[in-house]
Amino acid sequence: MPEAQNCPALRMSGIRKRFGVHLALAGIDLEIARGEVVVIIGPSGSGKSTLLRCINLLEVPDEGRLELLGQMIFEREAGSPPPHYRQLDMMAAKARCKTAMVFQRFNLFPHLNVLQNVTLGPIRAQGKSPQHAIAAARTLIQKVGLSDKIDAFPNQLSGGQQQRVAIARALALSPEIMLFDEPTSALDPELVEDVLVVIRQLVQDGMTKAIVTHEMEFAHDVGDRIVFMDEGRIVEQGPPSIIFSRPRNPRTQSFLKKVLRRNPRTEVSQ
Amino acid sequence: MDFVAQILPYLLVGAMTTIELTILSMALALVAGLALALMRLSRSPLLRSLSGAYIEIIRGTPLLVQLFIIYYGLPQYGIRLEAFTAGVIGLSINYSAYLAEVYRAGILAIDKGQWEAGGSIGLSRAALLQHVIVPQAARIVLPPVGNYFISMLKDSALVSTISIVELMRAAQLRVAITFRAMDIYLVTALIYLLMSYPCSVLIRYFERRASRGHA
Repeated sequence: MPEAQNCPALRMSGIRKRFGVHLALAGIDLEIARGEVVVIIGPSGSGKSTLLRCINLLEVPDEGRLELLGQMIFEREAGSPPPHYRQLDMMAAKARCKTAMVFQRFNLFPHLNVLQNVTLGPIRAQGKSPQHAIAAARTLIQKVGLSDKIDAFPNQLSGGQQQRVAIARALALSPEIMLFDEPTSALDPELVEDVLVVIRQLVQDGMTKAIVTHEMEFAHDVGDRIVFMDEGRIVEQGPPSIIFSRPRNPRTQSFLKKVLRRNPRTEVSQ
Repeated sequence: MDFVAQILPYLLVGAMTTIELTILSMALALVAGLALALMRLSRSPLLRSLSGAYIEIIRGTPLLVQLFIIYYGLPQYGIRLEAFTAGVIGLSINYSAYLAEVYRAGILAIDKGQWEAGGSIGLSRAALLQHVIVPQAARIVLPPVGNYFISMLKDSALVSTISIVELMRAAQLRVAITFRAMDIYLVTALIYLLMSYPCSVLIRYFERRASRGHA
């Protein structure tokens, strides 16, 4: 599909989302190129996670357009009624065969062991043969360094190990876009690095990624582009070298001042 | 003691019928209850309200009346059921409504993150329910379902009123012949207890196992 090759991995425009009286996304326009790693930062409640969750339709936008790899996924005009759930299922299915998500709280399936967690999607959603899926899963589980835990259940693993399994589960879907929703926020400090190391390795594989994180040093190192959000809007974006050293917007400046003071490692790496 | 030995065979034959009745009715109620719970949680308003109405009607009317309608009422419309069949249908219809609410609570107790994770890996709603939600909910509902099993074992005494000779009816028939009501009903109570007690021990065992985690 030479035509599709020219399309960006993601294109969203005019995405708005309201929770009750709270306007979580106040009109988001964003494009992500194929293979690009975009890191979304910003204060809590700024809409970062909601934005990410709109990409695979875990949240349904109130209005706006979403295209993934040139395919129209979702479109809704202001004030139009919400799509019927069957229609929404179809939209979500389209979005989810192109994406995979790593959650803040891992969300592994507690009744399944590591191997079953990783193979459930390929076998039950993508219709892969069990032998094929198991072989692929073993490779991925090895890649995240958990070959010795392949038969363990999630409650027998540390948070860092669980999140690495979750990453393998997402990779097993061979997604074109990986979504990371604060993958280290629920981890004990000493386990954060384990998970970041795994994600850093993945960054080299050329897969498109959107990452929401509070780890600024990590954001600086892996991001091709940093997107700063505040109050449901994209306030500023650009390459990490610019955003972290010479942010133009005062809100970006004050946010970075606060978080970098808390986490001095980042200043060293600049 | 001689007297007990004399009546016991009659009562035990009745107890066998009680057990058959309970196991069969419970099995049907478990399946129907799950279907009702899934309808109740469906996104289709039609399925939701059908199941909701069924549950309210069944839970709001006495089992005894339901049994009488099935066994004595339906023949008026030419539907004549054998007493045992009518008993099984009545018990399973009645319990399916209660079990549906138990399942529903169990399914709603599953963390939202499980639905999101299952959805994000591309599972359809049906596959998500089958492979992620229901297996976890099953662990949660095991103890209450076990309690309903015991409760049905005892409620099945009501089908004695539609001429099924289960344990209660067998006891009544012996009393009618021998007039030794106290002896017979005490033995009957003891037999019910001997049937239900092992079940509650079993439930407590499963409960402990479930609370130990998922491994």
